[in-house]
Amino acid sequence: MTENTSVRWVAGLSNGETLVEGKGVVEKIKGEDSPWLKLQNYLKENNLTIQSFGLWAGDKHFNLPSLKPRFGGQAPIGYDCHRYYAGDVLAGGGSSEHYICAEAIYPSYKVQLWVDLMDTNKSWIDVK
Amino acid sequence: MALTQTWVLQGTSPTTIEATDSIALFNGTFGGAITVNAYNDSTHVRSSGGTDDSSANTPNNVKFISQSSGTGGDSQADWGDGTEDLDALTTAEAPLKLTVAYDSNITISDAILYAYDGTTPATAPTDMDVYLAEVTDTNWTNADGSAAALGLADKSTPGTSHDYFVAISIKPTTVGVKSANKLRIEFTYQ
Repeated sequence: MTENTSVRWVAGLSNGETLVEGKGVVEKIKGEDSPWLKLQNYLKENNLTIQSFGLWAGDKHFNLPSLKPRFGGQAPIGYDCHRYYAGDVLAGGGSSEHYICAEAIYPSYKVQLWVDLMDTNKSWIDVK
Repeated sequence: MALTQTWVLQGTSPTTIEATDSIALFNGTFGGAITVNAYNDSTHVRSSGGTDDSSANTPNNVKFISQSSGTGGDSQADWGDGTEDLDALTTAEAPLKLTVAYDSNITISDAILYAYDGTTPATAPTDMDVYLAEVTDTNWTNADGSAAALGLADKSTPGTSHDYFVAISIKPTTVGVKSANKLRIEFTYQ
C-alpha cells in the first residue's frame, strides 16, 4: 500500500499554535494514537478549536476555507481529515488508490479537498 | 508510515494469502470445477504457480444455501455442520480473515468489500455471482460490483491492528475458469 508520507495536514488553532501532522504534540509514534487522534485529544484537553486547516505536500500548500476566509467566503463550523484506500486484494494486488482528504464542514454540506498520495500533483475539490 | 493488509484463509491452520496468490473455490477438490449454478464445496489458496498452498491446513469453506430461508428470514449456509443460519458463523469458522494494520493507532470507517470483473470496479464479475458476509451478518450480500458492496463494520476503537472475518461463496453461471475477476476493498482511516 504505497503512501506518500510527505503529505501532512496542518491545523491553525485558536491559541495561535500551528500543528503539523507528525511533529510536536501530534508526533507519530509507533503504538500511540495517530496524529489526527492526538490532535482531537489535544483540542479537547485544552479547550481549543481549529481555526484553519490545510494539506502540505512539500512546497505545495492546499488550504481549506478558514474561520476568517481569505477571500471572503463562508466560514466552516469544523474540520475533519482522513485517508482513503482502495485496492484489489490478492492475485497480485492489481490497481490501488490512496488519498488524503481534508474536509471543511458546513451546517448542511462539506467541502472536501483530496490529494493523491501516490501522485501529489493531483488534487480534487468535492462538495458533499 | 506503513499501512498493511494481511489476508488469511483460516482452517485447522491458517494459510497466509501472499500478494501473488489467489483465493480458489472448487467443488471439494483443488482444481475440481463447480457445477454451473451450484456453489463451492471447498476454498483454497492458489499460488501464482498454480499449486494448492493450503493443502495441509484443512481450510474453512462456507457454502451458500439460501438467501432468506433461515430463521426470521436469515440467510443459510453450510460450513461443514449442515445447513445453519448464516449469523451462527463464528470468527473461527469464517474462511477469510483480513487484518489491516498501521504503525500508530487508527480507526477505520466506511469499509466495503466487493467483487468485480477485474477491470472496472462498478462492473459485476464475469460469469459468476459472488456472495460475501461479515461474521454476525444475518444475510448474504450479493457483492457483484462496487454499488452492491458488502459493508464492513466500523472499527471505532483506535488500534494498530483491526480484524475482519468474512465468508465467501460463489456460483459460476457459465462453464470455464473465472480467474480474471477480483475482490476489491475500500476504506477510510484516521
